[in-house]
Amino acid sequence: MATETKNIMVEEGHFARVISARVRPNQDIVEAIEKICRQQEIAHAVVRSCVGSLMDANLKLGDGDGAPVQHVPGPGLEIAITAGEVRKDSDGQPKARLYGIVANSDGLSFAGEFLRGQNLSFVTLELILQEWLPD
Amino acid sequence: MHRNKSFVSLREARHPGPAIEPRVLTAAAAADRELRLFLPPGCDLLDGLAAKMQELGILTAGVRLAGGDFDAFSFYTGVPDPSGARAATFSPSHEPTLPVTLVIANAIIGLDEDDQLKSHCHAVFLDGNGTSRGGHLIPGACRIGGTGLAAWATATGDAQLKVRHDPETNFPIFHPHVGGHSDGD
Repeated sequence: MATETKNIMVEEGHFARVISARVRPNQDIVEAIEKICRQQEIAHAVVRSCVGSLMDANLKLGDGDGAPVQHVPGPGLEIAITAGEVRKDSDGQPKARLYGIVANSDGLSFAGEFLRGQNLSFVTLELILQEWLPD
Repeated sequence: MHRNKSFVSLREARHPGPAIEPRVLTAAAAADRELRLFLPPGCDLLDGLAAKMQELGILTAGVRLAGGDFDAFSFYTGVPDPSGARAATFSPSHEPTLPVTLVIANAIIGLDEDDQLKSHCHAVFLDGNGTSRGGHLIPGACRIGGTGLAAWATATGDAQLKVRHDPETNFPIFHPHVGGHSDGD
């Protein structure tokens, strides 16, 4: 039996403006990336590369309000956002979903989705974002 | 592990200098070059990336890496700064059991204070025992082994990142920089 594909959405488009950014300390990284997109009037974007540090990390494992959360105590966690997407919501506002890796002072590694409002930048977040324009 | 609604309260970092506005800094430019680079065995990962970008006339890029083996590898982690001059500092270098296998990494390539290219790279990798570890890779201390390593880079044209001293954190840090002048604070 053929794989059902009618619910798989495809969007063709192209990459447009590139944004270089820095987030200063004590900013939630999900909200900061959304703020960058609002400032630049970007509705859709992808994270092309991002490194920085967090005070503490809260990584969501799964979806929904009751999803388990891995708390990784810092300070000074080294992070990278290895998959990050910004899409506009039903109100036309940019909403970010960010997944990545975290390393603590012992060099132990963790991974997951950065939970909105729960991951504050520590020293800095350095970021290359790129606008995505659907055709 | 805990459930979504029962967080420990958020802690904020305390840095030596006063908080500086704005809290996010940006520079924008038109889409620029997209590159696939292949770094051969024996090449230092971060020095190799920076030197090749400099040769290509690229001043800032975001780089994505995954896979590849290393026959020399050192990394830092973040630790409290006992001097109090900064909220944290780098650990002594960690030397994992070799060979190291890179799982995934991001790197930012930008300009230092003397307009030479420098890198900032965080990664998760497997050490020679197969244990997953992570941290800040040290330029000049991560030598590619095996059959080499591919990297994908997005250059940012005039939307550059350039190091300058940050009085808030007392670190030299990449800041957005457009067309030869700072968007600054």
